[in-house]
Amino acid sequence: MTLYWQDVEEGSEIPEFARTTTLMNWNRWASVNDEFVPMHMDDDEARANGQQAAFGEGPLRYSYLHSALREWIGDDGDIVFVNAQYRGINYKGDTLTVSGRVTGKREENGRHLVDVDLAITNQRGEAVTPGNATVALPSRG
Amino acid sequence: MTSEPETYITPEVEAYIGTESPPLVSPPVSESEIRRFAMAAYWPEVPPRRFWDAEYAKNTRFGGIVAPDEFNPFGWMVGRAHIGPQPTHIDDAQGELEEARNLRPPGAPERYLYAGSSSEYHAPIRPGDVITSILKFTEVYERQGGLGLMLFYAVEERMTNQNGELVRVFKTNNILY
Repeated sequence: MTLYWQDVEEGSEIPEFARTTTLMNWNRWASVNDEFVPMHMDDDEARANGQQAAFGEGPLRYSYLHSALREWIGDDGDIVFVNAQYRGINYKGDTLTVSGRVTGKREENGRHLVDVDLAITNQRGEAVTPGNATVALPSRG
Repeated sequence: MTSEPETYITPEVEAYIGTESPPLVSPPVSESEIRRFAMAAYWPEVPPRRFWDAEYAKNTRFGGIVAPDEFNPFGWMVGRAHIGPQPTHIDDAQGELEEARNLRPPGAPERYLYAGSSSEYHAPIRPGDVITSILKFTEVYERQGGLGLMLFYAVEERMTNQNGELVRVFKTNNILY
């Protein structure tokens, strides 16, 4: 189903996107992003570098922000801009939930844009990846 | 323990702003590569059909498979793109290219943190596309923090396709301390 610009209201929330992450997610990600960093694959390596255990890749979280946007806007919307900050560490078994709230709507160069504040929160309620994005949606009529 | 300098932003670092990397050119992007990327990104759930089902994708406004916006066309190359600490080199040629593309402020401390990133998306990436990436060192500043004197810097990557169309502008925000 197409999401139209007119159907989006400022202050509304986008559907949540959640993943419980382990080496199954991180190793797959490492293989497609060519991100074979020992600290993301091995607890001993991570500890030797001052972390508690192996932890997930920042770019995978970045990708989750994109996936959450795509699930919301579908095939007919475009991601125009995404921005994120990596704050917390994503340890094995953490459930990462992407949430988002519409902060504004505007028209620019003939495109119908929607601005969104994004956050990834883990199961402890820690905001590990604040961010924001802009998407372009089709317009009715 | 070595003492910390008063500043990392020396005249050499100032002069480094605006430095560009040599270009990195991807092999032609394949449908299978796009499918695998999407599978990894959405694991353990099924990714949107437009990333892996050619028949379905034909009837979308794209007229065929497109890659996820954040798709990396530079995985598993002989000369790879990267930012941040990386594993062992395959050979000297790769090592030289990686070194030339590792835009770090001269004389900066070694310890690295990936602080954030932003992307502007333009033309989508499709199977058969050949993507060129050029990195530019754009910004540097420093702050005292919990980890001592910290040097913040930004690198902007511009990706274009074989038709010269802008595909993506990807900016990374990085910390050395």
